[in-house]
Amino acid sequence: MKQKLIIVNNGLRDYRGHYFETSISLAEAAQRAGLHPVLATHADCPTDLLPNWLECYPIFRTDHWMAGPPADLPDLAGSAVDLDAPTETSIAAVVQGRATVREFVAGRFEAPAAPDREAATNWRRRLARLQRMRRRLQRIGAKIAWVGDRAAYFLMPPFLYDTARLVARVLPRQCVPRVLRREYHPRVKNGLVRIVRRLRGRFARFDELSPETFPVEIARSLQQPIESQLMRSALSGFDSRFFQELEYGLIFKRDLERLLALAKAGCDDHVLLGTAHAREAPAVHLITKRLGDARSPQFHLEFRHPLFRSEPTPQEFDESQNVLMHRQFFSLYEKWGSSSRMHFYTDTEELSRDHELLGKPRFGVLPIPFRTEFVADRLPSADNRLRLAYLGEPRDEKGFPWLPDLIDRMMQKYVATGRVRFILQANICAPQYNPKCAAIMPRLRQYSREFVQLVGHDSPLSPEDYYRLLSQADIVLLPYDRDRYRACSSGTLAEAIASGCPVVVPADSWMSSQIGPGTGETFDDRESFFAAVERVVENFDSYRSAAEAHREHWLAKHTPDLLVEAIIGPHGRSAQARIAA
Amino acid sequence: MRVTYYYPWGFFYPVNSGAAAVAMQHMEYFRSRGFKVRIVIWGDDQPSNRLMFERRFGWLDELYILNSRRDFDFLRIRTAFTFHDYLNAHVAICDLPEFRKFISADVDLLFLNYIFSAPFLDLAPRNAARVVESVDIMSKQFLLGRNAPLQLARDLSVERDLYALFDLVLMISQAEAEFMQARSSANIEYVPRGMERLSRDAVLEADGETFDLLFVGCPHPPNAEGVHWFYEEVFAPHLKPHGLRWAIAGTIGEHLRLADENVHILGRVDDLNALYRRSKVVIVPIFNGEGISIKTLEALSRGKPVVSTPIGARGISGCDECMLKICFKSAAEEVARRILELTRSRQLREEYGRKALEYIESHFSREKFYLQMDNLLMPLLDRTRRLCA
Repeated sequence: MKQKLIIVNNGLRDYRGHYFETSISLAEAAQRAGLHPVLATHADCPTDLLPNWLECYPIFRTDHWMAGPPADLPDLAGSAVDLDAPTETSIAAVVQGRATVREFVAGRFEAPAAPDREAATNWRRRLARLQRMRRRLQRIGAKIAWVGDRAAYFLMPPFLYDTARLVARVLPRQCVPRVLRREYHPRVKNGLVRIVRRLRGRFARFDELSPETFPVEIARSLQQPIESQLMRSALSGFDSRFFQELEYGLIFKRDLERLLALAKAGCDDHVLLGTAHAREAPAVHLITKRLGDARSPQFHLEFRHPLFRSEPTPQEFDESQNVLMHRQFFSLYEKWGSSSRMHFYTDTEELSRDHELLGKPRFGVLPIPFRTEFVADRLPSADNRLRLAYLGEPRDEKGFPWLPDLIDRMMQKYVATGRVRFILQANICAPQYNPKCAAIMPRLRQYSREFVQLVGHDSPLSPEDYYRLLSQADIVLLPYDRDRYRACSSGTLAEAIASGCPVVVPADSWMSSQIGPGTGETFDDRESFFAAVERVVENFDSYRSAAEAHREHWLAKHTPDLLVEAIIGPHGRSAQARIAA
Repeated sequence: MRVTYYYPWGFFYPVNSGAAAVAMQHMEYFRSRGFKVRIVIWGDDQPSNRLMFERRFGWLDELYILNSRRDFDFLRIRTAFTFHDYLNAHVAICDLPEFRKFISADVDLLFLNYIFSAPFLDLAPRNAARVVESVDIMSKQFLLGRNAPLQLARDLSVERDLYALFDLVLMISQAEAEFMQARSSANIEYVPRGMERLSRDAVLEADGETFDLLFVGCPHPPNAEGVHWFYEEVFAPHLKPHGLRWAIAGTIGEHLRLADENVHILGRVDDLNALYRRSKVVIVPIFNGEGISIKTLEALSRGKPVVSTPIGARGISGCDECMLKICFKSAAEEVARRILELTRSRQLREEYGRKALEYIESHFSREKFYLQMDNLLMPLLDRTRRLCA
């Protein structure tokens, strides 16, 4: 059997973000490296989004952002998903005659329960008889009530009948205390539960942890024989602000366990969490503890999101909610004793340095994966105008709201004179989180299509459309927020450099450190961004030739194959051996 | 050459489904090549069916009939309609002592239908070549419900692994064969279904009492669903007012709740060819399915104009000119319009019919099927024999 590379991207639901591209490029690279790739996505991910050849499990109920409540648990009917079950029979063993198909099937599916027909029939019969009796009694009662009512209606004086009827209607409502009335029961019950929980929370001590006071998964973990001790130790001193994060981490753990059982991951296999979160580190740790080194696959957790708002400061280190949360989870990981089956990475030197401030774990640096073969030759401009492109999903932090002002500023000298035009990817997938982007859209739509072409209004672009857009770009604009992107990478930049495009990027950021000399311009603020774009336009040819020259250098460092090699290659985990910046 | 053959859906003669038609073709092939055939089959409760089957296959070497009541609670499994239940059911069948004896008898070829019968390999004679006719990718066929993608992923991985246990996996749909070839290292081969060639006269539209529309189907749930939808959304509002008559043939009839003087539920018919000749247009209003639509192929081979959903034309590529593929649900009126057009113009029907026959001749001829089976099976049997010697 081939070694497996299980790529976990619980944020993957559609083409949005980098999830799809990185996952598929890695799966392809794994296949080229002779591994068997497996992809696990969010439960809502439609499988027809993914290529046929790829084994995919849409299993995760939570995503990276905790944007919504966990999805429903996918139906695992009949699956054998018990991690503690004896090692299953592989198909190779059956082929070699060392095992039977029966054993193989037993390892994959639960054996069906033998039907106890007689018991089931008796039980059903009794229930049906009771239901029939209830219906009959109801009918008799209704008939008696009707006869009584009609008799009273015809025999009693009308004013007495009407008064009695009114009293009969009002009395039960006015005489019965609300607490005894059915419609108030849920409110009373909920109130009582709230009070009891509050009292328990006030008086409970951590050495008397009661599962009922915690959310479902934490409570379950407290009752699980192997995890109970670890979870108890975790909860003592745990910041209650992060209980929700912990709960999500444990939901992730349950899903990951199911995935490992379904995909039949063994100790030779590798699991890559392509966009990991700190809450997932203890979650994975619990699994490695449970499986032990002999059965646990190697886990590779790659962290891609920034920790600090700008350069790390002691104040932010102690006060930032994001940093505190990361510290809390990494200290939990350390508290339980680090695992030799877990390896941590980021995709930039800067991000690794930031993460290493949090505690003992060391962070390697991995290449940025994307499908280099998709980076096509540039399509020539039909009208000889330079095409200035904004690629990737518009977000406020990505400087998209600056673009109308840039267009206005360049209109007279460059746009109207036919020297440049704009191609903008304009699918705002989450306007509630990007209000500035949403606000400028009407302005962008007012420009003539000849000057400003908006692409992908309603939905994320497919990879084919995205790369087609990239091949149409002469200059790629990345007006990103410098602080937000100080340490973290950008897939759009990676692809732009790989296609030999001059770029405009924020100064003093990871992005500015990646562009070669003369391949683009940097900016500090909005005004300097506008000026930088004009400089690149004015001297496009020289920027272009420098960018073309820089391309090969970049591609020698950032490919999915290099990433796969870095985590499973002969040097193995010494992808800790870092890539030169 | 001896072969043990397994078919899981009861007597496949009289033909009552696409899978039965495929099995019939296998039998014709084995007989033509002089194989000695032993069959394991599920019996049903109709003695007349058994009689007809035994009469037709009097030439068989041996027949073992599994009794779904006596031997196994197969009905429960069929109702569950999940891949793992079918697989577990076949594991359980292996415990039947008489069956064990029958299936492990010494033969040259063990030929199974459907991948869920793979547990029988545990009992297969060591020297026999192992072949499975997948019919459809079963894990996809069983796809139901909103959480199905995960089950599909799990079942697909099991199905892919099980294919590796066979020396040869036959698939009747090219698209499915390519899908599985991309996922599995097993020896997977596409074998086109061989359709009976009929002379032009045999497919000429008959005069006299005719039906405007024809649907032929077995009680597979998507068939009933499609027929009901078509009646309510297309036939009753758009076609019935023009006096069109619709014939529904096949065992699906028992599962329909249609009471309409213009809809004729014929049930099982003795001469399907005659019915095709008496019908003007064949409709395939199917919205779910995997593999290849054998009912569509059959209609094309009878030179009929076919109006189908894209699902009804699955697995039949390159036939855009010989049939009408329309998305029924989004264009009910358009479907009705095209059907009316066809029923009113004999010339148009003949044009479609001619192209359909040409298409079948070039893609699904019986000669091609025989040739492909020879090319695949004979070297495999030779190799197995040499290994045993």
